[in-house]
Amino acid sequence: MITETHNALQEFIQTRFASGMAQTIGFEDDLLMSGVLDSLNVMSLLAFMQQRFDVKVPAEDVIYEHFVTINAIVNYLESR
Amino acid sequence: MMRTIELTPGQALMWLGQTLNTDAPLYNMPFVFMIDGALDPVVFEHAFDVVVRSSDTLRATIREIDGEVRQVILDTSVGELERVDLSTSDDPEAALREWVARQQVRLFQYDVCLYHSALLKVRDERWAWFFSQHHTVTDGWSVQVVYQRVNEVYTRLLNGEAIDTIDVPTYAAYVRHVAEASAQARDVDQFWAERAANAPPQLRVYRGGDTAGTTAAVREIVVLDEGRMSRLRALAMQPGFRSFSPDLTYANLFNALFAAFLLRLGDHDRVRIGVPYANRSTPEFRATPGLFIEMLALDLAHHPGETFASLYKQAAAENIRAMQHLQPGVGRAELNRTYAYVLNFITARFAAFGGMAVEPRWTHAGHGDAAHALRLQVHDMTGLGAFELNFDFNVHAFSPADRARAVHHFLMVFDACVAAPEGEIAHIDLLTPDERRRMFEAFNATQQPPPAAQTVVELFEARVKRTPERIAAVLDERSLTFRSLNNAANQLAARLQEAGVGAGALVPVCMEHSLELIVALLAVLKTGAAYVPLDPLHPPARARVILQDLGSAACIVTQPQFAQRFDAPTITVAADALAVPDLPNPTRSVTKDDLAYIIYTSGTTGIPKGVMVEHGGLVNYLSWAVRFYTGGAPMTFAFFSSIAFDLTVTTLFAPLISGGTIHIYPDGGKLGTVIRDVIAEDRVDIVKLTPSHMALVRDLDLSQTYIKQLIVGGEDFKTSLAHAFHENSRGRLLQHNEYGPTEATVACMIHTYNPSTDRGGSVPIGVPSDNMRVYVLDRFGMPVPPGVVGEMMLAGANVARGYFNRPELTQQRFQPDPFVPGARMYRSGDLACWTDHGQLEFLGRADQQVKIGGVRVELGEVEAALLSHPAIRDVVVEAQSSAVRSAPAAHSECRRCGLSASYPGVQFDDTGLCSLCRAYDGYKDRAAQYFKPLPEFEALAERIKTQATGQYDVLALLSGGKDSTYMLYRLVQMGLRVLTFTLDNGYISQFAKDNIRRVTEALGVDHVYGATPGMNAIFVDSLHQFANVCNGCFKTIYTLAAQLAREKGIATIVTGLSRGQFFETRLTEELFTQPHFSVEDIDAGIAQMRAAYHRQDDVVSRSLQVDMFRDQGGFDDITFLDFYRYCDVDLREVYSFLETAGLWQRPPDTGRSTNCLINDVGIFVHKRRRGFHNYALPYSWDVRLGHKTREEAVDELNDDIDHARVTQIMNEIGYELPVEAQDVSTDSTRLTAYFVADSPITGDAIREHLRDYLPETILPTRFVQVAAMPLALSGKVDRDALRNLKDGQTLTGTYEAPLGEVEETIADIWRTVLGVERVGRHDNFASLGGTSLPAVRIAARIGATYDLKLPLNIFFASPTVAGLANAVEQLVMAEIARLSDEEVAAQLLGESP
Repeated sequence: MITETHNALQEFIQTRFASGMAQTIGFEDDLLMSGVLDSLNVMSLLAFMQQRFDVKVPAEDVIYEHFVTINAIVNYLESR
Repeated sequence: MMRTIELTPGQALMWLGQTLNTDAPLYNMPFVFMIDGALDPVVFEHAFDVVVRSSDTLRATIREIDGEVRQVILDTSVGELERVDLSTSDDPEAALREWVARQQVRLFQYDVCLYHSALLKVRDERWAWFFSQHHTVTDGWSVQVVYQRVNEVYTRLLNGEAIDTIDVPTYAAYVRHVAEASAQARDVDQFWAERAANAPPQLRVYRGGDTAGTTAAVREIVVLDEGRMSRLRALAMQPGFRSFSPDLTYANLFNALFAAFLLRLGDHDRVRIGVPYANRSTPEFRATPGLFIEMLALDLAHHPGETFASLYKQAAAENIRAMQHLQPGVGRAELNRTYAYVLNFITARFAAFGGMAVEPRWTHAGHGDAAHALRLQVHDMTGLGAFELNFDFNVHAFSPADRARAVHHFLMVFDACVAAPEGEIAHIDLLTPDERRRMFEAFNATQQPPPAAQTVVELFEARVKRTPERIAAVLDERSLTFRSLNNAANQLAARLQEAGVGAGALVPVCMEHSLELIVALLAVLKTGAAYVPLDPLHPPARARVILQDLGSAACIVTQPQFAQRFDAPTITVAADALAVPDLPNPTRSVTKDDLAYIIYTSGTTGIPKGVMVEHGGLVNYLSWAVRFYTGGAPMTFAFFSSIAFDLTVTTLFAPLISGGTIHIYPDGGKLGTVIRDVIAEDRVDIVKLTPSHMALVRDLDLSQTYIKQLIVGGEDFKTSLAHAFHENSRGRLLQHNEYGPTEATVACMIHTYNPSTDRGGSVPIGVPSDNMRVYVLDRFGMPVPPGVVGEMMLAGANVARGYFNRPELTQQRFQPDPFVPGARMYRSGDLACWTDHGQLEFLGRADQQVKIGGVRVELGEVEAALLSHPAIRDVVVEAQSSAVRSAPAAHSECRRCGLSASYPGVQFDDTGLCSLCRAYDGYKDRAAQYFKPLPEFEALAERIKTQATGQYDVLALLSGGKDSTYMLYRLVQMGLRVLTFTLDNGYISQFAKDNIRRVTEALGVDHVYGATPGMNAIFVDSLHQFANVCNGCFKTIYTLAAQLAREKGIATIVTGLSRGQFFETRLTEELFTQPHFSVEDIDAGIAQMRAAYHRQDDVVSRSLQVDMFRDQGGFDDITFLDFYRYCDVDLREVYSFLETAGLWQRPPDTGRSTNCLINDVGIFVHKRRRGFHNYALPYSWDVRLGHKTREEAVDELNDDIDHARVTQIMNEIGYELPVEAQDVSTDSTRLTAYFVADSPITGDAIREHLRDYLPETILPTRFVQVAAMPLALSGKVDRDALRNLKDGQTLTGTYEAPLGEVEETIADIWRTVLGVERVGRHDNFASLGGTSLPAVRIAARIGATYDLKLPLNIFFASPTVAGLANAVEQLVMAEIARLSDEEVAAQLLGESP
């Protein structure tokens, strides 16, 4: 089910990190393989998530599995 | 025109590091790019020039402008591209290496140019571009940027393009950014500030680890092979490891691997690793040359069960945390200081240059940050797909052997973690198969077939059958054959059995060195019981403690002369009761699992514990000892050491089971003489002794000695000592170093000294003996590889059963053998390390590893350094922390009296009761007799009134404090006419003076103030000698008061000393525990002591120029009465009385005292120098006597002292705290070196010598030269005696053994009373730890021995053995000549009769 969270994330990532890309980023697209997310961008994303969703992700949870796709990020947020 | 910009915080830090090490190229970043192809040097030079002109970084210089360090950007480039042609040399590649090696360490001229660039021709189509910069203007990323721009411009120029400058972002822009960013980064700042403040302890691997502020470093390079790389790559893809990018994953992996290595091999469970972060947060910054990195710190920890996978998770999270707190300018010096290990994962890559193949080499200038012990740099700059590991080792922290080890062990950890990430880090095996075979298996392959007999008695009885007529034991002219010894033992065994002694019984044996002793030990064993040896020469307290611990002993076997010491039933063995007919051996059912003996050891808490040794272990040890030392041949052993220590077990039983002879040396205590005798008499083949015993006869010519072998045990055996004996015996003596605690049944390791190979400080401890295994384990219980320190675990047949009556301690120290199921092992508490030659090196006790200023120090190392001084013969180094002298027990304060564990020599039992309270319980009744009821005083008062001749009845010492004031009231109440006297020492509180005035006026008594101009000198001297002010003050008071009393014709002086002070200054345990106790004797003794004390020539007597004491009669016409001996009143009563009377008010300015302002100085100095409060003891007595509650006492001791005022007063009186007491840091451990030398040497001279061997921080601060090492009765150095040498006291002069019978007898008495092993004829009584109190006892004993009265003032007139002997002889001769003792005394003192 697509939620507000999905959309917010997608919009942020698209505009901030993938503005030059032609296609829109899908919720199941691998963000890391494609180079959209790298270690620097992840920091910005975390800042956004704190600001927008009032969620502070502890350092131990900032791992590949939780950020590989937009769905993964949403799943993680919902598990909290 | 020039532009200047400020330095970023990161640059400033680097700059600071460089200025602290001006001569070291520690911030040179040299690169060499090998370019293979047809490089056009002219175009290259042009390209380089373009880039320089385009980048402010490359034109930066550093200068000081108006006191501020700034970057000055030059308009034109100053540094040229150097051109070098090596192609004409014989070996261009070698020439290149040499050229690079020379150039890369050149220091930059900071105000001229911060790079060095050179293009070298190796040959046609092979070039080297050398590019080195100072780190303040570069980092790994920056080099990549510059390289890439030069590359790009070169290509464009080659294509014919004309280029003047290119677009390169300025570093100045970044500097501006930093300035803005730091204003906003408060919580980030806070994060790192907290981290800087909470650093984990410094972790050490191997035995070095400290850079000592040096920068020299060596690089070891390892390229990971394809096998390792493929496994690593595979792991990097696994879930749980794979991170946001490959670079990030590998960075995490190497952080975790490095941490795993440090935690597995290091000595702590937490480690902090410094990690540089690129900090290139925008596309513009990513294209800017210059220094951007920020050094941050990651904290990782090893928890129980930690695996590599869990450690990786920590590393990954820490990495995220660091990135979340990464801001420009956030790195700081406080954080940099907190880590010694750095991991640098470099992602820089260098593309082909102008289409030509490039090999980048990042070379090492031989220096690094002085705080870093090890930097591990990981990179794949060539892009070949294999990581290159650069281990940069600080040379001081890692020896060459350690460097090789570190690389090797890192790879072992790497392999283990990558192959099995779910495996526990603690279980990573660090031994190669070869090492395991050698150091673990072969080393411990000591199995021998079990001995035929189960018990030592069986072995003895078998020997009796084989060689009944051989001499088993001999003492002077008496001897026993095996047969007669056996018979005597059987007879005594029968007696014992009749008394109920049998298997399982514990029988204390207290006998002196004699044939009877041997009989007794065998007899006890024959009944199946175990013996518990008590040395009759030990202080009686020790026997009491042991007997108490044993509980109900069956009976005590002893000799007639000792029988009355014991309350328990005794069986005495008289001499000459040994000639008996043949008797059959008693039957018994004893197996190897039954106890043979219990021997008590002291341990660090001072409370003895009984080690229970079984027959099995004893038989195993003895069988081996006989095999190793005698080969089964009968040999004669010298028996002179104490039976209370298991050193002696070898000497007694080895000959008994092998047909040898025990040659007994009777007790007499002149140890040096005994050992000389042993060596001189051609009687003995083997001597077992301690190194300290050996040191006593170090200079003897042994070339003719009959002795063949020395078995050396009990202490660390220094090679310097072994070498001396080797030389003195011309190599004829075999010296065996036998290692082993009592808990491993005498000994379990052996090494025979080899002068050509044993070169270290200590003789090696060798290999395990039969059926024993020695494991050296790290804190994870894993066997250590060479170079790593571990604890020695002793396993096998010799391991004792445990400690008697101490189940928890036994469980702690005796554990199951993890390598041999069913077996047991003992944790020795001794540390050891395997050398590279496969030898085990003993490193001393774990509790002797001390830290000085954070640096770990091995005392043995310091001792070895001291021994290298040509004149020093023997040395003991002790560490003392300023707070505590003796090791604190589990209890910090006595539960009854509140006495603190910091009070020297105090011990606590398991219930928390201190040894003073315990002892007092024993003599409380007698002590009570010393005190009298008040009516007695009143009666005395009446008598005084009738006898008084002058204006006054008594002189009362009125300090103005509560005790003396209360006393005055009572004296006046009794109707006495009192003259009061107060010493005005210059520091009496005005409030106290007001009290005195009011009270004396109201009571109508006359008052006199006394004073002396020498008071300050008296204070200073008292502080030097006693670390207090009261001693000097008291003595002055007494002296002046007596003078005044004389003047006024007063016969009685009344003092207000409290009961607590009596016990502190004159009433000791000995006075009350003597068999013949009488209060009159105590009084007489005290009176004499007082007289003698006042006769002593010291600062007080010189200041006061008091003649009256020079003549004996100084005190004769004056009686001192202590009011509180008769008056029992507690603190509350005194205060309440004074309050009611209304005239006395407690001064607000005197601190603990109630009258005097300088008292606090005494407390302060005493605490600093002695480590405990000088009121601790008297207050504990107040509690013991019921005058204070425990809480009141403890509370009063925790007062704050006004440091400023104390310092001011110290300045006024002219007292300066000695250097070692001045240190105010809390962790102030200091080393004291006690040494024996050929001639007097000053501490400064030794320090100079030591500077060549040891770093300044661990040089001992105190040097005490002693005439000889005091030995405990165990034959080991008496460290307590050394520690208790009073400040300023040293034993100087050479040791001379007592001459003649009288001297020997007197020295004997001193030995026993003072508890010291060795007494030289010229040793000063005070320097041996004697105070006035044992003086009384010694004088009494001497008097008893010679049936005369030895006045104490004679004692103090000649306080040496030689002097006293002379006095005694004269007194005895005078007896004969019928002079009175007084007349002789007068003669001795050089006075006219």
